[in-house]
Formats: sequence, structure tokens, C-alpha cells
Amino acid sequence: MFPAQGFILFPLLALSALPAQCQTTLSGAITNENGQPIAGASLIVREQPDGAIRAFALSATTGEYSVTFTTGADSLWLSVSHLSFASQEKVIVRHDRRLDWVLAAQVYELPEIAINQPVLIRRGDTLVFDVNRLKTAQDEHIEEVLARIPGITVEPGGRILYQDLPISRFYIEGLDMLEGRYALATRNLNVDAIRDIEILEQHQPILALDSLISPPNAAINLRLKSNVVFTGEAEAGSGLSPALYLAGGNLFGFQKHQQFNVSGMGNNVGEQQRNNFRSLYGEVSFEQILVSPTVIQPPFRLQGSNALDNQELTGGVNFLRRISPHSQLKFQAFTTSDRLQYRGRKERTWRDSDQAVRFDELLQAGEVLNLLNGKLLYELNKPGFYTKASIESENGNTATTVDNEINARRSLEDFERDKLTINGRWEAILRKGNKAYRLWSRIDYRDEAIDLELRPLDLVGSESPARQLPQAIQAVRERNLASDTYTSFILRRNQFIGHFKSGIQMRRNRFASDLAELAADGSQTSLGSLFVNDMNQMLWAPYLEQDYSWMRKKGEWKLHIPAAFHRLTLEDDLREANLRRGLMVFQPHIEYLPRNGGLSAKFTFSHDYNQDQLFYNSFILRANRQFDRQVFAVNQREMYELSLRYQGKSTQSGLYYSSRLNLSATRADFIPTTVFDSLGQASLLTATSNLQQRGSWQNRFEMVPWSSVQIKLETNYTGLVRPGALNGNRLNILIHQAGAEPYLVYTFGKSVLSCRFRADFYASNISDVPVWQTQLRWVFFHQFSKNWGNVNLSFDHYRTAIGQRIVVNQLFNIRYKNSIPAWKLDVSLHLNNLTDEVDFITFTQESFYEELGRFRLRPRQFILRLAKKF
Amino acid sequence: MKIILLPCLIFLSGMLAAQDTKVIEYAANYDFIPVMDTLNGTFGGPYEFLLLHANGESRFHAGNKQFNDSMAYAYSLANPQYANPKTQEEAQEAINNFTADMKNWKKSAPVNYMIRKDFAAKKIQNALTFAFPPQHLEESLNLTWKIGEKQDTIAGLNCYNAHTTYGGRNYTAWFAPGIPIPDGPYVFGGLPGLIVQVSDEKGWFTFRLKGLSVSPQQRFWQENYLNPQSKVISRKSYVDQSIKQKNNPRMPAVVDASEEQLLIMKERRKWSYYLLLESY
Repeated sequence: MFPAQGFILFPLLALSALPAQCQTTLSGAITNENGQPIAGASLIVREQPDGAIRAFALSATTGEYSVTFTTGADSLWLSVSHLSFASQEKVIVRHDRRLDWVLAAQVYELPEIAINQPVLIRRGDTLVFDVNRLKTAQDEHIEEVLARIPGITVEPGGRILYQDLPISRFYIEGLDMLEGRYALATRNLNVDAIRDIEILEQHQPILALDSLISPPNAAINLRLKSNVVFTGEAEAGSGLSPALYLAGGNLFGFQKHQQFNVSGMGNNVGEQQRNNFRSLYGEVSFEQILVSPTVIQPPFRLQGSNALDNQELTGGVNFLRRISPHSQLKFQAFTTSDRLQYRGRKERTWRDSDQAVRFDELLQAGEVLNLLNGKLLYELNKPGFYTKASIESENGNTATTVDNEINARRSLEDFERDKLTINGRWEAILRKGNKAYRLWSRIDYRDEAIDLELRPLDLVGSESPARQLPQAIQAVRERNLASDTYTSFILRRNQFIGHFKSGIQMRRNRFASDLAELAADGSQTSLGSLFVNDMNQMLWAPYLEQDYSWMRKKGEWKLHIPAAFHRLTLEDDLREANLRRGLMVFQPHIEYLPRNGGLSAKFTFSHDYNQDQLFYNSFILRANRQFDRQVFAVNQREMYELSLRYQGKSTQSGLYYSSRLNLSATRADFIPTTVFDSLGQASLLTATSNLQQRGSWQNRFEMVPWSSVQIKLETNYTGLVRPGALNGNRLNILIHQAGAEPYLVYTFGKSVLSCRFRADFYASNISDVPVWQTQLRWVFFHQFSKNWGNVNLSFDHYRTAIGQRIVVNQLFNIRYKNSIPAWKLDVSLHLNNLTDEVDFITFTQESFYEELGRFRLRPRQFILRLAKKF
Repeated sequence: MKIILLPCLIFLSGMLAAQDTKVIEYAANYDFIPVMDTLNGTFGGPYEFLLLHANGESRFHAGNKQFNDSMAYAYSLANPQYANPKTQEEAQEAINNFTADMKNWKKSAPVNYMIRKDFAAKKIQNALTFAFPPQHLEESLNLTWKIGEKQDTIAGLNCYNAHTTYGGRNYTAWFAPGIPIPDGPYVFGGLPGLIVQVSDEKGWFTFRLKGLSVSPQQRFWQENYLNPQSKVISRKSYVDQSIKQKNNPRMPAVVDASEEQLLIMKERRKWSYYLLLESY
């Protein structure tokens, strides 16, 4: 019995030996020495001086506090603290009680806080992103990491925008080696070599302008993991059919005082790697070619992988050497060689009110292109003085062999074009206190030689009898020297801003052409003065451009007044005729932007002449069966244009809309006159009174009805009345052109599905039937989870209806991309033109002709690409 | 690509409100590190936030917002003619001039929380960004904390851990009793010491102290922190609208983006633009 009782009593005794756990409530008030309550003071309850916190309370605005807790301790350590008062501590015996505190004022001393380096830091206007934290396993190049940074957009062509504005500089370790050719780095540089990406907001690269002018554009600087880095990538791919290949590699080297890049690539999969060597700074300019062979060009909507039948080899080098802390020397060069094949068919119809001439052209051409480009640049960038001088030279050669069939008759052409350009730029800025003086100058030289040999040549024109030559050759030579030097400054007073720019342009042009019959033995016999040009052209043009902006209560007025005096000299050495003219050129416009209704208006008046046009007094052959002739006179034009625009948006519903109406009338001294027959066409200018009128109306509507759906609709209409002369008959050509393009995007999960439909209508008073064209494009993009890459599927359906005639074609492409980080390997798989469509249909209409083109597509293809980083 | 922003409307509401400076009792800087990709465990940011306290009221917002607002205030002082527009035309003129000037100094604030804690009224106000008309969530300031057993040294400070639940997520905070400030980032506070770090249990969202000043100092203090016209909305409405904004790749509206770009932007918005800390 006793032992059993002992078993029961022992635990009870043991329990009684432990402190009893019971609930305790403490309350009271916390006041200052004047008896005023202290709010927000902390009371902490512990069982030991540095032990765990058992309970806590914060004093209310009345200074009162109350805390209830469970504890078994006999004594409690209490502490009360507040930022503005000296802390107090008390040790009390545990039981419910009221405890008041009176705190003495005291200046708080902050303990030392040790902060670790964060992923992103801001230093002034510089944002620094840690690449290791930003990149994902799928990222192949720095371009993909950049695209993920808030505020940055990478355009399909490689240009980088930050906050909607193109970046002004792309540095690597503070040096801009690539001078705008930064796609070479963003698309090739190994992302593993980069430690940080710095975004330099409102970056002023010129020290002499620092704190004086704050540009809106940002710059990007890549910081590397080491001061000395050598990194690169090798890429190879293969596919079918025909046998496809691509191979390439690039090497980057970065040291403290110098940087270099060497890259090279060859492919026949439709990629034009030479585009990576084009500068992405500034605006893109388009070149107008004077004489061209008869080839079918790839439609601009098509990707190179579907259209370009190429054999490209491209290589380049970039080198930068820092000479001193403030000066550097750069050298850039690249060369490319490409063999392109163009095949297709064109159905071209010329028509006037009485007749229609149709050409059925079976087109096949091979083109060989060689290009060599070099650039040398010196830059001195000191706080008080800045200068930059560069010289760039490019030498290109294009040889095209054409084997066409025109209306079932064979037509051969050999085209050769040699071009040399040399461009010099010089800029100097002198800083004196808060003023800076700027002088900017450019000088450009171009030398171009073109030979076009045709077998046969059909001569057509209003001034020569129609006849056929079995073989002919046209030789064209043009030399051009141009310069521009200006200085500029800005003035601002209250709501008035003025921007002034003055300078002088010079242009000297020498142009010669000769069309000759080519005998079987190779001897040439010129076709006479009607087809021979020997022209000298000289222009001196001082100019002043003024821009004014005036802010008013109800709107803003803007006035742009570019004015120039052109001293133009034309010399026809063949006819020993001279023309000297002094002309004033005005192209002012005034714009009013009211602030309450979203409606803006702009009126433009232009008094100009054909200043950008080459003057030639006799016919030249622009292309086979297309003769062209200018006049030995200045073709002055006056244009009036009124533009109205209304736009608005609703952020809540995600709605954006705009409508633009343009009305213009143009009067010129000359109108184009065209003569055509079954052999070809000739155009020239005829002096007569005329008026061209044009009206266009464009609408754009976008909305986001649900968070995952976006809808866009664009519509346009253009009506045009153009005076002209066709085959000796004066006529007004009336054209109606309209289009509508709805676009729907649906995003769900990690997928995007988009559908774009486009319908175009065209009719003119000299066409028999109107033309309808429609295009339907579906794109599906999905990002797989767990490092399985992404896939992009695109399907295009084209339908062209010309009267009762309907042409349909479609295009289906799939692309899959993934990376294997463990092997530093990028893999992509391309399935192009899966339906094996033969042609891509295009339809073009001009005032008196229409053209249905069928461009031969690359066949169904399968390409596997592997890229290894090192 | 063109992005259509709404600086004018935001500015208009700000300019119409009275603004001034105030002596701040303490100012803390926090880094906000949100998850970027929950699958890969990569994180964005950090984004710098500012916690300011004066007269029993705390405000928590992006550091760049403080800069932008103070610059806007300086602009309004320099251009008193725009301070009180009486007509729509005058307001429009003020907006246009301000927009032109703002381009020179405006800093990006992609994550835009605005939290106001009223300690006297025990109230939290959480503004819904990019909401028109202005709206905010209002909740009582009474988070229930459970003090943990762990201690650690964070940022050189002796810290204790504490747990709470807010918005459907469990959070762990580390607070420093050595800094007797019962405040913290975002909606968090009410502990007997400044919150040095707080993270949710999955570690997707972290606020971390990076700087603190307790010297009284004159700082920009907008009198009407929340728009006076702002309406109180329910938690459900707040979350619904936040999700809608977050899932919309064209917010702000973007014109002409490829499908791949749209997805990138959508992904980017998930982690960088307006992170959804809340749930129903």
C-alpha cells in the first residue's frame, strides 16, 4: 500500500516544487516628469535580464498600458523605453499589480547599424543592378537580362530604350568601344562575365556640358566581374533543306586601358549578321538607289529565315585604347561578303484610260555583295574642353546577274555597282563658366560607279523612235562632296523658349551617264546626247532655323521657321549650258496644342524645290524598260497642309483613341509625264499649271476590356487627286485607299495568344476593278516552367482578291529556345515554312500601274542551333 | 515602343493638395526585395522605401516618391501662379508646364506602396495605386504578434523574432528592442522595438532596414497624404483591382509590342510593378 501511495505522491510533490504557472496582469501609466502621458512607450517583460521576451505592451495616448501573461517565475525584469526618454528597468515580484512609470527626457543615441550590400543600389542618378540576381537560367545574352529591367525596352532591331528614349551611350567598364554597334555586345557577350548593369539616368557624356545641359536620355554601363576579362561564345548550327549551316564566334577582351572585340560568322539560313555592325545611335537613314537591276526584292514583312536565300560571311573587329585619363582612340572595322538569290514572278500592268500593257515577268537573279567598313575616332573629354573627331570609310561592291523572262522572251542583265564613302565628323565644345560654345561640322564624300548591261534593250520614249538593241550598256558615275557646319544656342524666358541654329551647307555633285550599244566585239557606240549626261551641280546654302514655343493659358503655340538661301549652280558640260539661281527656301509650320479638349492643329506652308534630287538633263535608264529624265530647271513647289488630331485616353478602362485628319494641296512648276508602250516606259517633267490634292483620315483605338485581353483597331482612308500626263493625255488620277486592322491579344498564365487581321482596299479611276487584300496572323508564345525554355508559333494567312481573281498563301513557323546552364549551352530549334508554301504574294499599286508579285520563299526548313559560352 | 503614362493626373491631384514640411521624429530606409520568379527563386529590386514619423503618424512610401513629391513641391513654390488653378484651363496649363519641368529630375518609382499609420486612431490606410477615382483600404492597427524564442544579430543589432498573420500570409519579423520605435515597414508595427526585417514564410517578400535617423529634421510632408477624395474600399475590391493591374501587361498602355515582349512585361509587372502582398 505504502509504495503505491508513494508513486502517486512523488509526482505531486515534484510538481509542487516547481513554480506555479499562473496568469499575471500588469497595468499602469507611463508619464514624463511633468505628469504628462507618454504614448508609444514599450514595456517589455522578461524572466531574466537578457532572456526571451515573455510579454510586451505599448502605451496608449493616455499613457496607460496593460499586459497579461502567463509565467511561473517569482520575479520579473521589466523595462520601459521610448525614443525621447531614458529607459528604465525594474525587478518586481510576480503578482497582479499596477505599476506607474515616470520617464526622464533624454536624447536617444542610435546604435551602429551595419548594412550589407544590396542587390540594387542607387548612386546619384545611377541605378546598379546585380546581374546574378536578375538573370535566369534561360537568359542567353545580356539583351534578355536588360529586357527584364523595369524601364528598359529592347526593340527587335536591337536598339535599347530607357523610359521610352533611346540610350545615348553603351559603355563596358566606362568605355564606349562599340560606338553604337552595341548589338554586338548585347547579343554576343557572355552574360556570366558581367557583374552589374548600371543605368545612368539623364547621362551627359560630355564633361564640358556637365551640370549645364541635362539630356533626357540614359546610358548603360556594364561592370565586369574582373578588371581583366576574356570571354566569348562559339555557335554552330545545321539543318535541312537544302543543306543549311551557320557557324560563328566572338571574343571580347577587357583590360584597364584597352578593350577589343573580334567576331565572325557565316550562314546560309537567312541571317544578316552585318546588321549588328550598324550604329544604333541616331536615326536610321534610307538610301535611294539611282539605277537598279530587275530583281524581285523580299517583301519587308517577311523574316530573313523565310525569305533570304543567302551565303553570308561577316567578320569585324573593334578596338579601344585609353591614351590618357581624358582621351581615347577607337578603331572599328568590319567586312562582309554575301551571295543572294532572288526568284519570283511579277505580273505588272500599266494602264491609261485607253489601253493596258501587261508584262509577265519570270525573275531570277544572283547577287554578290562585298563590303568593307573602317572607322577611326579620337575623343578628348575634359571638364573645360571637349573635342571629337572621326573618319569613316566604306567601300562596297555589288554584282548582280539577272536571267529573266519577260513576256516569254529572255532578258539578261549584268549589274555592277562600286561605291566609296568617306565621312568625317568634328565637334568642339568650350566651357566658360555657365556658358558653353559649340561648333559642329561634317564632311561627306561619295564616289559611285554603276554599270548596267542589258541583253536586249528596248528603247522607248516620246523623243526617240521605239527600237530594240540586242545588247547595250549604261555607265553611270557620280561624285558627291557635302559639308555642313553649324552652331546653336537656346534661350528661355518665363513661358517663352527659343532655339536657334545657324550654319552653312555646301554640296558639290558631279554626275555623268552614257547609254551605248554594245557590239559583239565589245565595242561601244553611244546612243547620242539624248542618253548622255555630263552635269556639275554646286550648292551653297547658309541657313537659320528658329524654334519658338509659347505657353498660354488655353494652349501652347509652337512656331518653327527654317529659312535658307540656296545659291545653286547647274552646269551641263555636254550642252555647254549653265543655270545659276538664288532661291529662298521656307518650310515654316505653326502648331497649336489646346489643353482642354485633346484637339491639336498644325498648319504647314512649304516653299521649296527639288533640292535633294539629282539634276540630269538627258534620259537615264533607272531600270530595264524604265527611262527617266529631269529638267534643266528648278522645280519649285508650294505646299499647304492642315493637320488636325484628336486623342484621349481613360486609364480606368484602359482605353486609348486618336483620330488624325490631314488635308494638303501642292502646286509645282512641273508635273510628271509618262509614256509607255509594250516595250517599256519613260518619264519626264512637263511645265504646266497643276494642283495635287490629298486627304487622309487615320483612326486608332485601343482598349483593355479585361486584364488579360487587349483590343486594338486601326483604320485609314486616303483620297488623292494627282495631275499627270499619260501617253500625251492630261488627266487627273483619282485614288481611293482604305484599310482596317483589328488586333486582339490574350495573355493567360505564361502564354500569349494574338490574332491580327488586316484588310486593305484600293481603287482608282484608271483601274478596271478594285483590289481587296486581307492578312490574318496568329501568334502563340509560351514560356515553359522549370527551365524547359519557350516556344513561339506563328501562322500567317494571306488572301488577295483582284476583281474575281483570288490568290491565297500561308506561312507557318515554329521556334523553340532553351538553355542548359550546367553546360553553358544555348539550344534553339527552328521549323520554318512548315506548310512548304512556294510563294509569298504581294500587291503594289501606283498611279498608273499595278503589280502582283510572287516572291519565292525558302522551302520547309529545320535548323538546330547550339551556342557554347566560354 | 511608346508608353503612355499618367503623370499629369497624378500631379494634378498632388498639386491641388496643401503641402508643407514637418519636423520628422524618425526616418528609416528599407529595402524591399520581392520575388521575381517563384519557380527559379530569383528576386528583384531592392526598391528603396522610406518610413517617416511625425506627430503620431507614420508614412511608408518609395524613396523616389519622396524625392519626386518634394521636387514637385519646390516647383509649386517657384511657380505660385499654378498653385491654385481655378479653371480647367489653368489646371491644364499647370500640368503642361510641370510635365516639361519634371522630365529633368523625375526618378522612376516602379513600386508604389503608400501606407499611412495613425497610431492615435489605431488605423492603417493603404492607397490603391493608379486608381481613379482615388481609393484606399482602411484597417485597424492591431496586428497580433507572437514573440518567438529566437534571437539574432541583424544589421549589427540584437533582434528578437515575432510572428503574425496579415492578408492571408504568415510573416516573421525581427525587431530590435534597443531601438524603442514600435514601427516598421509597410503595415507592420506594434512591436517593442523597430522592425529591422520582415519576411513572409515563403521568403517571397522581404523588407530590410538599411538606414535610420532619429535626429529631428525638417522633411517634406504632404498635408493630405491620401487624396481627400479617396474612398474607402473593401479588401476584396482592393485585391481584385490589384490583381487586374498586375495581370495587365499594358499597364501603363504599351503600343506595338511583340508577343514575347508582352509576356516579358507581364512577368516584369508581376514582380516589379505592383506586388500583391494582399490576399482576400
